[in-house]
Amino acid sequence: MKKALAFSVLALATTLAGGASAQMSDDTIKIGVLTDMSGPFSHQTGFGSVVAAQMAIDEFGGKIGSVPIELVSADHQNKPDVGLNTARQWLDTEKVDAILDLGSSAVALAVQELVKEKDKVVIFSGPGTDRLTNDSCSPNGIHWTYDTYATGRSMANAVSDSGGKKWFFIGMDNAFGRSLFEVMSKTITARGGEILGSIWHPIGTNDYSSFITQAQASGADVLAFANSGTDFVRSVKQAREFGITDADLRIVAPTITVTDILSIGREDAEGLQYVDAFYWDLNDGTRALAEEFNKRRGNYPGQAQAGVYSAVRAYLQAIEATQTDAAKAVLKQLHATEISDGFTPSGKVRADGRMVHEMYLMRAKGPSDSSVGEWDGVSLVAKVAGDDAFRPLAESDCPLVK
Amino acid sequence: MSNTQLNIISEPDVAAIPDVETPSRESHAHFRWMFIALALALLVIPAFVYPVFLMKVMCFALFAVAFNLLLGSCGLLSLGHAAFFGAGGYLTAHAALVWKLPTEVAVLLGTVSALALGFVVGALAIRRHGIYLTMITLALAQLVYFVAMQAPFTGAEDGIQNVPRGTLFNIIDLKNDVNLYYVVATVFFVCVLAVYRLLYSPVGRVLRAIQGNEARAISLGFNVNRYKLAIFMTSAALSGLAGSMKAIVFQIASLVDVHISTSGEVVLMTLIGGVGTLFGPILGAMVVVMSQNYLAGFGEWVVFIQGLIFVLSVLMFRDGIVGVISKKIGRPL
Amino acid sequence: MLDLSGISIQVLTGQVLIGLINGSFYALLSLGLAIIFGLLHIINFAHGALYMLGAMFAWLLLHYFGVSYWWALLLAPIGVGLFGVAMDRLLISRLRDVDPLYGLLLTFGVALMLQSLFQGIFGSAGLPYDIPRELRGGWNLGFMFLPKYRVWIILASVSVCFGVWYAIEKTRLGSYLRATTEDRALVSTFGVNVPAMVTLTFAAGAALAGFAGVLAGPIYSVSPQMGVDVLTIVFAVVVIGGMGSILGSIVSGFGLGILEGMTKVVYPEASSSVIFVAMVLVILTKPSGLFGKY
Repeated sequence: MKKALAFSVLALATTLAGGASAQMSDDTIKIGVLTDMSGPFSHQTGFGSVVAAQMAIDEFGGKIGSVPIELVSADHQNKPDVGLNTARQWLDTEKVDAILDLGSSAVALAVQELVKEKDKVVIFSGPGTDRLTNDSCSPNGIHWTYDTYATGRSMANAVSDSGGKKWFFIGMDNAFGRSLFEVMSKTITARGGEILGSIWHPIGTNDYSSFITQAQASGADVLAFANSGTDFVRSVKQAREFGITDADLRIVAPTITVTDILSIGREDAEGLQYVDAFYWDLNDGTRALAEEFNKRRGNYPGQAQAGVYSAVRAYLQAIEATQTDAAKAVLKQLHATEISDGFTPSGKVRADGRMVHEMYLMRAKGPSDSSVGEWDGVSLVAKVAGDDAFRPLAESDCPLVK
Repeated sequence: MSNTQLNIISEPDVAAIPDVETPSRESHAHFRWMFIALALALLVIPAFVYPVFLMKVMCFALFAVAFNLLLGSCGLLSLGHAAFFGAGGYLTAHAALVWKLPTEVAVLLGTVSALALGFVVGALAIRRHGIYLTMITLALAQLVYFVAMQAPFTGAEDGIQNVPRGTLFNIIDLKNDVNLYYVVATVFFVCVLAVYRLLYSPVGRVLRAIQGNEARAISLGFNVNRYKLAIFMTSAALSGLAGSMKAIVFQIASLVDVHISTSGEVVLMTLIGGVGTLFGPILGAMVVVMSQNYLAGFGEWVVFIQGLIFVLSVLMFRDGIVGVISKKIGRPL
Repeated sequence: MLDLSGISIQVLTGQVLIGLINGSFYALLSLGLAIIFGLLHIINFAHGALYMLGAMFAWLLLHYFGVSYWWALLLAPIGVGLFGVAMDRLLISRLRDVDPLYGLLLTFGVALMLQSLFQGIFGSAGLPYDIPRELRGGWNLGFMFLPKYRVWIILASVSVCFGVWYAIEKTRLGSYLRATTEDRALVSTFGVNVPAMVTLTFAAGAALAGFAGVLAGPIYSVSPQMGVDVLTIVFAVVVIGGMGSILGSIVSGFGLGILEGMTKVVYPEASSSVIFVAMVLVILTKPSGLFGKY
């Protein structure tokens, strides 16, 4: 009764306002980019993500029909309470319709739950935790870009294909490192490989020489680093210092980015393989996206930033198609449409909220390579089909697909 | 040794402490009006400001008041207070989510666990002075962080998510922000009032005597260590209570709450507001939490601004905002 | 984790050697802090940031002026030393007469500012800085591979540590310095410019941190946050060694290096926490540290 009353009041109000588009709440479409602007993920997300979102909005001319699209952004500082406070305030008082990007897994998991409770839309581009579409999946949340499952599985398969059998792991002692190890070790043993050892180091460790010499002594032929950021950069630099070359012990690192490669320097990074969700030099669409981003931001977009662009674009298309910004209808449309843009040639959103698209196995070029541009430092080794990368629904713990 | 024995027989007369200003009735009579003003402000302000934000401010304000109880009235600088704040949050979250205890019991449990932790840390720390005491608190807090990282129930960096807010005494639905606000506000008000009563009680005078001249307090026959430990535990318990309430408000307990940066933040809050004042830490918490929310647009420069505030407060406003006002009007605040 | 029974003598020898190398680095890293605390009684929480500044200067010199590693090893510490002069004159000198805990808070603020400043300009990702040609490669000792650069670290650290110890304990300048800490007024009656000496000491401590930063750049990666990761270690080294004792810091640096190295073999998850356990135990059993005078 109450709802019906509210609805008729709303309907009346919008009719009076001209009835341009009767189903848009409060006559704006409001998108909030909640991201890490000051912490360790700020170079992969941060202001770059805001720029990417703006690019997508500009493609629609800043409005759908006559309804303006508004973009707000905030820094969650990797603190769940700061992120949650902002997200709550956005949904409760500022009438934000969709939240994008996120970042650290604690913030992402917390916002996932909040958005479900408030029945709005959240699209994750920054975070890697695969729990967002597994045990913590939500009908209101879509995980767009990458996750630890897809990168770990793609990497383990690619290395197994090329003959890597005996693995040694050096990983970050946190949920990220452990979950990456879990999916990789499962894939490795299924492919007949074996794991000779694993070492878990605290975040922010300076010296890896002890771990590296243990790995050298183990007799492994693949050394996998399940860490990221500065910890990863230090690991690789020291592995090279201790004489590890691809010939005797191949180094792989599933979830790193081009920026990490740049930090290591070309010489030490040569031959490193990793998995990326976005490669700027794939086709005309990706090149155009990268160029436009470069024009606005002064560098090429990382996977999370390209993902934000793609997600905002798809979200706005869904609103355009359904002529409403009501979460249920938009989500239904998002789940039903194929995604094809400058980020990925072909993707689809699954029932568990996973956006499945192809992933790219990348390799860092060495100093002898003739290409000079910073962003030419990596090359594509192989494409991994979406279904071979992401977690199969049969393995999922997501209540939505049970 | 003889001091201890003396204490067992009879605690010396507090009034006999020389050199410590005796707060006369008039000099702190204005506190009554301040508390009435605080109560009124707490009552009406949710009509104008977003209640969840206010609850966050109150949690941190209580945390800062607790921290200042140690630094301001006893001169003990702890760089590990996040351990109590975070431990309270973790225990409360776990109790409410996994053990399915009622909210009030979960919060009580979180507070008691922080109290127990305060006993352990305090008993070790007060055996040393100055920088060594600070280093012990820092080191032990890092060990608590390590446990939070390793223990299976804390969920490492994902934290404990989806903590139920529950219903208070089976009557008040805490899922409603406004209901929860008034509960948190009541707890906050009662705690600040209790701290005030403590500071202006005979115990408070002994604490000031210890801070002023520890050797003399000992020679007067006070068991200084017992007082220090008691105040350390009180401070830890209140910090734990603040952390517990925060876990309920945000429905999450996470690693950030036990991290050293949180210990640093509470020092900043107290310093900005005014070390040793009652209302200073509250104002300081407001300033810091607001700066986190409203300076968010500055992105990477938020930390720079915080550092600058640190430097400027130490160089120019060592008394803090409230401390300066208090000196101007010649009354404690 | 490796099986304990599976650790051969050879592997163990390698781990002890690595522990010693890291220990020598810790000793060098803590030296500046030990001097600043021991002689000036300033608890310098910006020590890690000064270390970062040294590495950053080296990178800036290379990136913008093509200055080599070897020149950076000289120039960057001078730069950090000058920054130290400014920091002491403009900020710390104003706090000479207040509780030393305020110095701690002030330097903490300076550290926050420095880190976020560099992060704001250069981003949070690290900056590439390679090992110089001459020090690339290494020797295979049979039980492990020993990189040349690590040998250089141990040589550089030990000689700088010895030089500083000698300068403070055995030279006339050092004796003035030590006397200053005992009685400022008395020393100034000898015609020694005490404030200048204090500033110089602070600058020297800062320069040492900068030197350690340049040394660390090629292997620990140059990044704005690198100081945060070493700050707790250097404080543990100084506290355990005994605040104010140069020799104590050197010995405890080596000791903690080996302790940490062994932990990395048996329980790597705890390799950074073991330092804190050691620190608490030492403070509680021997409050003035192993070699402390206070």
